[in-house]
Amino acid sequence: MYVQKTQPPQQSPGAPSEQIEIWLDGRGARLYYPGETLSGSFSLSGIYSSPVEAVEVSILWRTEGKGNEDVGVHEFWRLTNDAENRWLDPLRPNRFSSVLPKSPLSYDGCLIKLRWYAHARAFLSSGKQLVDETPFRLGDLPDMRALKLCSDPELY
Amino acid sequence: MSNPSPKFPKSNPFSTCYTAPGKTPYFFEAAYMRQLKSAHPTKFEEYFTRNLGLGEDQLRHKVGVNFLVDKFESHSCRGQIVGNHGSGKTTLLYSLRTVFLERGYEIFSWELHDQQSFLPDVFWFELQKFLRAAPNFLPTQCLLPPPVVSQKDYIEQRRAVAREFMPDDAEPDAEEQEEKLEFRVPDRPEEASAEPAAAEEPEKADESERNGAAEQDGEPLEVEGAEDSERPETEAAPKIETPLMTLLRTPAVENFREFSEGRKSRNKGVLGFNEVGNFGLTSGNRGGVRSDLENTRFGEEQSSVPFAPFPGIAPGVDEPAESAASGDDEEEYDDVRVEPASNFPALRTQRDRRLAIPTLEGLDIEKRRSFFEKKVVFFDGFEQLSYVNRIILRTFCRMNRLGLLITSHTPAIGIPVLFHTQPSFETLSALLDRLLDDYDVNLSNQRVADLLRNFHSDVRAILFSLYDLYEKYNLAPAEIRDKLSRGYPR
Repeated sequence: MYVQKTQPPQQSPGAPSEQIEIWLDGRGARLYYPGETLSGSFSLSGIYSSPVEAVEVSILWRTEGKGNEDVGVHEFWRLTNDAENRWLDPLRPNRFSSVLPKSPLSYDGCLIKLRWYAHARAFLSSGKQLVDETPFRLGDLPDMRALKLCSDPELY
Repeated sequence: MSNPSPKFPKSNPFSTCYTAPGKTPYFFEAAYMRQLKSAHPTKFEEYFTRNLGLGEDQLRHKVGVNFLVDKFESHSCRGQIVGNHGSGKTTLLYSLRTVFLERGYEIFSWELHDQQSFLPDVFWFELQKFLRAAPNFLPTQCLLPPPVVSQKDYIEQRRAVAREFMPDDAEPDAEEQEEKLEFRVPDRPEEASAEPAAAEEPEKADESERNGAAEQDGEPLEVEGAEDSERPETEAAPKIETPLMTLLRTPAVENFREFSEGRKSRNKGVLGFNEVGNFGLTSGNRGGVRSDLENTRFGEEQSSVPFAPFPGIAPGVDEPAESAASGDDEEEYDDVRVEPASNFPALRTQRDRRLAIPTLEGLDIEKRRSFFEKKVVFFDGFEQLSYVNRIILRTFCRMNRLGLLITSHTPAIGIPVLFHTQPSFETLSALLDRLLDDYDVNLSNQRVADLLRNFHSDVRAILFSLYDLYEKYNLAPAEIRDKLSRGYPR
């Protein structure tokens, strides 16, 4: 699983584990191309004590590296109990889909990396939040670090 | 559905998304925790039991941070974190933020950019917005210039405040209301309650009678009170008068002197600020601001830019009867006479026209007091400010009863030092263990000690160098990995 530096939820022993999971359809490498339709589903499990107030699903990209971070949101859905918003049963898998943009493409460099994520967040009435995200690649740019090091072994 | 793929690249554990301030806690040394425990055993045990469910590092972090906030509060909400470059000042500031928020504080944080030595305008703008977001805020307590309010509106506002605080009693004058405001905010409540309320009753009755008479004459209420309260002490003290002084003050001698010096037909000059904030004389002969007298003399309209003794004070719409009556003689002078400070024109006008304080509905002194006590300004990079800007920021926070927590490279004068950040082998090891928890990379103790020595305890530089090392190490073949791990740091 992709490494996440989030704190594990504090739970009392014996309590059912509340969690949200998000899955992507398609190939196992999770490689998508610009203009392709990304689809998937999310599901909640172990939620018995406090009802779900809202669920947010987003498709976003994020940079990481030595400098400041940057974030861009491509698609965002929020499902609540309001009459204006559509509401899906949180205890059953719900689907989403979106057409991916032409840019920015996923990139792995030395100083900066650009990663795409499918992100899901559930807000419980107790104030607790459940988060899960699954990375995927948009485009098939080669790894610049490997190219650079293979071309010049003296860099080591 | 796709499963997580092992080919998917891992993030660099030394990326800023994991190492930036706020992403990792500040690691306190065990020796510091032992000192805390020996100095405050009861409180230490309280914080320890409150955070028992956490891990060891988080528990130590929580206890240390809570002690720092206690220390901050005990120093009347002022403090500074001192340390060198990359020693974790900002990280500790972010860690303190969570505890401040848990305790009900509202935080205004500001971080200076490199080489920025002054407080920019946007800082004051944002701070003003932050302060005005709370109820019962009186903007005149800031250093920011208050809005210009006319004398008439000012009196109405003071009356509204008086009505709000004393709805059943007779309407007091402004001086009484000011005393009432001071009475509502005693430092020690028992002192305020010890004052006999019965002794004020006959004085109130007399004052209300006098106020009623003054209102019928169309005279502003607080002008009398202001003059009574702020009358200079030199007038009350007995003066020794020589016969020559008595002779010079006779009307005949005065008239003769005025006619002989030719000042009878000239205008009086008054020093002060006009509405746009310029300081100078109001008489037209001196240039700058033209006086109303001159405008009316030549048949023009009255000046649309009224004169005010200080910024924020509007000229009186309803001039006091005394000054209007006695102003005929004084307006014939062009020069500013050298008089005692109590008779200086600007000060005299200031005495008559007070600083305008806008009235807000629902004013509650206690609420306002608690509001200011729960506001903290976090300022990162205090050492970059110039000397004047440091004084301005410190004074502003003290005047407005705002807490001030700063970070600095060297201790700033006048602010108590809460903590000295000094990275050590222990804290750096704890940080690296946390960052490399999910990775198959290990740094030996000797390597960590070398890093500290080579980078002069600058943890920021250490993390940047480890970032570069990981980028090379991650893609390198096995034989080169060994070489990399042996050869670093350089």
